[in-house]
Amino acid sequence: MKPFFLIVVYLGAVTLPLILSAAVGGPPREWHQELASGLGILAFSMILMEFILSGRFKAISNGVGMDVTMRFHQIMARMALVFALVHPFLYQETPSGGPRPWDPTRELTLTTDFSAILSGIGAFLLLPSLVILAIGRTQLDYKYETWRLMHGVGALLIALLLLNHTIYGGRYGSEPVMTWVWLAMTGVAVGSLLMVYLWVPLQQKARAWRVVSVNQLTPKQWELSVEPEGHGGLDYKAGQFLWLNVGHSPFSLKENPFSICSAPAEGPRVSFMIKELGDFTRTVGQIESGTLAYLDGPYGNLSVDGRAEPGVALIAGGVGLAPLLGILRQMRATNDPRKVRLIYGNRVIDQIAYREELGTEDVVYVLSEPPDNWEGEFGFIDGALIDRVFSEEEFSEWVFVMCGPAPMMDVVEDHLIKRGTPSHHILSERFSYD
Amino acid sequence: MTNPIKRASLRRRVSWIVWAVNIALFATLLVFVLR
Repeated sequence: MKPFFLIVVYLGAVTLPLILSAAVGGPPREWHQELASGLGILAFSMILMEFILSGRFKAISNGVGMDVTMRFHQIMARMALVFALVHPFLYQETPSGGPRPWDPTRELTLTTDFSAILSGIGAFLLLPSLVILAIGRTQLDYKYETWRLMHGVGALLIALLLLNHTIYGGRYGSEPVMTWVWLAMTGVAVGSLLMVYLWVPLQQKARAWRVVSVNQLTPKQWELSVEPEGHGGLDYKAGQFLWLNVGHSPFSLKENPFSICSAPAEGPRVSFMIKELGDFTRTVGQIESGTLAYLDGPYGNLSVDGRAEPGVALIAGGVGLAPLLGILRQMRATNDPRKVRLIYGNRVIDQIAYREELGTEDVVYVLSEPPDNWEGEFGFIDGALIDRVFSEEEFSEWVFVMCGPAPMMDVVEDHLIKRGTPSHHILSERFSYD
Repeated sequence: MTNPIKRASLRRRVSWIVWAVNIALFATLLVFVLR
């Protein structure tokens, strides 16, 4: 789906409870009390939408990109946190107590119903913990699946506490129409969790894959290939990625995102280029052929399919080669008439993967620590190097696709913009979102 | 030095969405508070 449409849908969903509250919720109170309720209402609807922005819905992440989806999820979570934390303090000096006969629309008093306040306090304490644990995830060194479980369960708990707090504690939430709206929105949010953790695994179970080869490419990089087990395979575009689960139940949280380095034109076999970095990747070499695997995907919008530019520039750093190799393989397999050139950077010569397959035509190898006899480019992938590889005409006409370490992507993106490459000709997808 | 706002980086792609969404959210909130 198009980004503009997605943003309008997001805004509609987030502001719907606020607009409806104004329509059905009785006469307005003083501005600070209305601001307090308004912030609380917005915070809750933003938190519920966070479930949908979790990155596992292709209509969203394939529309705007997984990195944009996740970064937006993170930023909106922080905003919702601020709204939620500020909102109770703005009720200051409002008289509180139980229902008053002379105040049927609760224009003058706040509720002090203990359970409704308690659920609000519970969410008030849990929400910052959830956000802080998410921001500090890499530093805290949790196992990825442990963190995911904590994040999912924590978010579910917060949503249920907030539902109770809003319906029983809120002036607007207690209106029958609003109660139904909040129940429906919370239902969609919880349903999205069920979909990710139950429905998708059930579908995966019916479409299993089997590991057919695990090849060592370089001392720390492997190629793992899987083939469909009695089904037609995966409908994907070269350059996309998916969540791979090898050797565990489809309901297990032990799955990791990897770029696909094979090309759809080459057949149903799907291959991944994997670098030893974390818990799972360090054990790739021990995976045996025949092991069952499950795939969730494809995700991402790093694709040159159907684009009109006359040439495709691929700029890869290290294992960032994976999606670009997929694109290159697809172009070669389909005799794509567009020109293509790949810049492939590594630190040392032993880290260059697929050297034989890539060949030397239209491929520029770069090493930051070259051996004495190295005749190729050396140093980092920077502006000067890119200027040597591409002409002025290519800068303005080609599409540039890049994947690699964030500093490399920053340098390349800056330089391309400086050379006049339109930003819609620059495709990149990052796998760290901060 | 390239103007950082012109970068086609993740930050740039997200920032215009965040700006658009925030302006709309705060405008709705303002209408709600001052109605």
